Amino acid sequence: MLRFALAGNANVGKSVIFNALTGLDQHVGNWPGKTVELFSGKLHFENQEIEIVDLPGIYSFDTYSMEEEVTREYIISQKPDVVINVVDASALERNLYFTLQLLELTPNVVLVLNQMDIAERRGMQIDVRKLAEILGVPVVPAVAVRGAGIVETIKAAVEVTGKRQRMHGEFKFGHEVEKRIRKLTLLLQKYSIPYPPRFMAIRLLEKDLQMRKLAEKIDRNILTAADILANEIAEIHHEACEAVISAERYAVCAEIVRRVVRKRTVRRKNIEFLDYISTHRVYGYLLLGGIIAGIFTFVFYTGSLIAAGMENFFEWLGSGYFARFGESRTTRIIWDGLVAGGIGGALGVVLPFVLPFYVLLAILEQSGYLARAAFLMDSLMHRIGLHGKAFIPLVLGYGCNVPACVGCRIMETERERTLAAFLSTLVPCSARTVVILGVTGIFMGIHWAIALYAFNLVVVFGVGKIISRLLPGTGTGLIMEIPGLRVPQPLVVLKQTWFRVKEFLVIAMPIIMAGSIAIVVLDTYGVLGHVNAALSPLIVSWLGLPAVVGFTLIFGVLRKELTVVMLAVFLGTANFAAVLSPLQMLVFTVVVMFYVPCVATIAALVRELGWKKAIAITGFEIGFALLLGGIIFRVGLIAGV
Amino acid sequence: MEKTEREEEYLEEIRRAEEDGKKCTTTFLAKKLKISPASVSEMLKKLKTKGYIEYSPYGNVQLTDYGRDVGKQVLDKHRVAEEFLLMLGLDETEIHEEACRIEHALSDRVFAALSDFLKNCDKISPLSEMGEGETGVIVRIDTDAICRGRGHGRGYGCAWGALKRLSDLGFTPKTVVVVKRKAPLSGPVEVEIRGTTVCISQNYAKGIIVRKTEG
Ligand SMILES: Nc1nc2c(ncn2[C@@H]2O[C@H](COP(=O)(O)OP(=O)(O)O)[C@@H](O)[C@H]2O)c(=O)[nH]1
Repeated sequence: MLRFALAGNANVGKSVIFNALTGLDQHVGNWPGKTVELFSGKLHFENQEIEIVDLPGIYSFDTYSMEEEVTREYIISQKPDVVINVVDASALERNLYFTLQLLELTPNVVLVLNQMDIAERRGMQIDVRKLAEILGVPVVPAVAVRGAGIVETIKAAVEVTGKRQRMHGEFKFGHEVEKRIRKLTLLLQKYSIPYPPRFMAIRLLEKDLQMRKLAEKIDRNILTAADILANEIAEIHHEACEAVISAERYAVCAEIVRRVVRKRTVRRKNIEFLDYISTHRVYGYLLLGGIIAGIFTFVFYTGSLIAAGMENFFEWLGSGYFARFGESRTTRIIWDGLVAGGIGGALGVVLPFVLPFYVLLAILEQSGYLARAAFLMDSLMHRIGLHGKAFIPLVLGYGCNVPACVGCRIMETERERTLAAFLSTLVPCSARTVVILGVTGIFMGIHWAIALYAFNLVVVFGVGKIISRLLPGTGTGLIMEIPGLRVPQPLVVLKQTWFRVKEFLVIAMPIIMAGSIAIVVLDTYGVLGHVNAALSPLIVSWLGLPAVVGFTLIFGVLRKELTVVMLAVFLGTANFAAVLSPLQMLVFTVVVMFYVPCVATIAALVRELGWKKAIAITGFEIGFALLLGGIIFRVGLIAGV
Repeated sequence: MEKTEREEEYLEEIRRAEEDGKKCTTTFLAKKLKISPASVSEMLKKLKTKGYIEYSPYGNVQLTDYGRDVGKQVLDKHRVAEEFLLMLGLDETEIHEEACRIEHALSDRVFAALSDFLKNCDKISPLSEMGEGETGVIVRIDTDAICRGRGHGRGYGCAWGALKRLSDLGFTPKTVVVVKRKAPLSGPVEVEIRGTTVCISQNYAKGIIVRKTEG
């Protein structure tokens, strides 16, 4: 079976091409050892079965994020039969940079010149034949969104596998650099290395850490020679050797572009206006605020409708179930624990709230707006030791903390991933929103609920500020491409949404189901009563809440919105104002907001950050919530709320 | 025709007097150049035979067109050298002497490059200080500024390869950049580079040194 990999910069249209190639025959696999998913799919072409892998966007083999690392690993070590390099025809110079790196490694490349429509709209004419001639590989012009060039791509790729491609040696660096690359290449030819010698020589001069390790293992002399040569280059140019090589590679790109692209200047009015507004120092923030407010309004309006519908459905299902199987301990445990509690509960949050939220978010992401939001939020994020990109997982957190933790992979360093994941678990997810609105919002007024959201933001920032001081190391800055604004593709939006919701279903669902059964079993056999009794001094004396709240908090570890459901059950009424004072409701809501990430989030934390950090974060949040609750209770008593 | 440093010195001084509208006599030159009037007379004779100047005994020294060109050029070199030394942080009192030595060593090519550089000098600034809509050409990347205070995660480069990432995205010397947007509160800078839009944090923008150009 043939294996083709799609690779290229971010936002060039790889996903669109991948979807067009594989249709619905796709599956997501985990990259061993790393938590980045790879999409792969199968396709039949001229009686051949071909596996296609969609790799995360990459700008250079000198990677800058975990996702790029995966792509690099895949291309370098897994050696796909053909790399289908998708490039944005309207930004050819920058895109060719990676193409050249790729061609240093392998000649089995097909270049897809995608987004030809946009290039044309920008007044560019590209001489495809000449480009193919210069690069020495097939070049296929494409407009992926219209399906143009897809078949030709696969055809070209299959043809490449049939021929023995010759390594392309045309791209010469400047004389001083080229000479030293040759020297190192000659040296490397004496050893048996798993890569083309010239590729490895260049990588070594660019100070690629993995290649250095490999070289060291083979023979220390290689490393010494590489360092000497790199220093010579650095001295000639008064610049770091790796920067010199980048500059010279770009010189080649610019020369190629000069030879194949003809450009007229054209002005694009509409898009430019939106672009102008979207990052404007006043309108930009207004727009951002408006969009966020719009999303929340929409999600909670449609969400409550869907939630009510689902509740009715499960009630109907439940009555049917008990009528058929009768009431007994076992049927109760199966129903309450597994079906209604586990599946129903999990879906009850996902379908109404998380799903619509993520659809909207994916639309924003695909349109190129989220990158602009990250730009606007960067300086704020810097105050808490993060940078603009962290805004994305934090916003994801309002839907569900699980995909938010997973989304922290876009951060570049371990330190930032930890910090961003930690902070996103403090963000009130849709389950907590149910509590905030259902207790404080309904019985104390919407302004109290809004105040709690604001208070939550203050806490997130305060904690971020403190933790960023405590964590070793310093933050990095933002370096991010801002993609052009575009009309999103429905299929890609759905896929992106599915991808995130799937994080929830895969990580959260089994844990919620298992946990739900466990708690129902414990409850049925009366074990929970003891736990509740043990907790009661804390709940009653410290937080000033009724003892039954202990129960609800235990259930809440499964899913935060269960706290309200259980509270109503234990208090015997859903009219909380009749049994709880406003202060008690406030303390309850704050404690629920912070007291522990739910089991699913803990599982996500373990997966993303490891046991130690997950336990530390959980421990911190329990202590913090109890402390905060106690303080609010006491301050409230004095202030007479 | 070969001319010596001394000759250049004389022509420069005569030209300066001419510019200032002062009468240039043997005594005046002797005072300016701190040389005995006798040696001055001797040198003036030499300059006259070479066709640089015209003069009558006890009268004014006048430059020929040819002599004026030479004198003017030396004077320009002197001024450029002074300006450059001032920029390097030398004291006003010492720059004249130093410039007198440098002016003779400057070839026309170096002189042209240096005056060009000085002309553009006020246009050189970090990317972070350019205004929205301004265009510039990257002069160099200030590694120290980019790495300053930021984590040195990798053994090579700094800030987890931020430096390399910037050059991989095309921030290399001689590249044209257009500042599209600057976020408020020392936020990031959005720039157009090599047909793409990239935004980078303020701390990185500080290390990218550009020369402003028109349009
Ligand atoms: N106009 C136009 N837009 C395209 C084309 N190909 C992809 N896009 C859009 O470019 C954006 C990024 O595409 P995507 O496949 O997500 O990029 P990826 O990051 O490389 O996977 C999406 O909004 C697509 O709709 C094309 O040929 N023409």
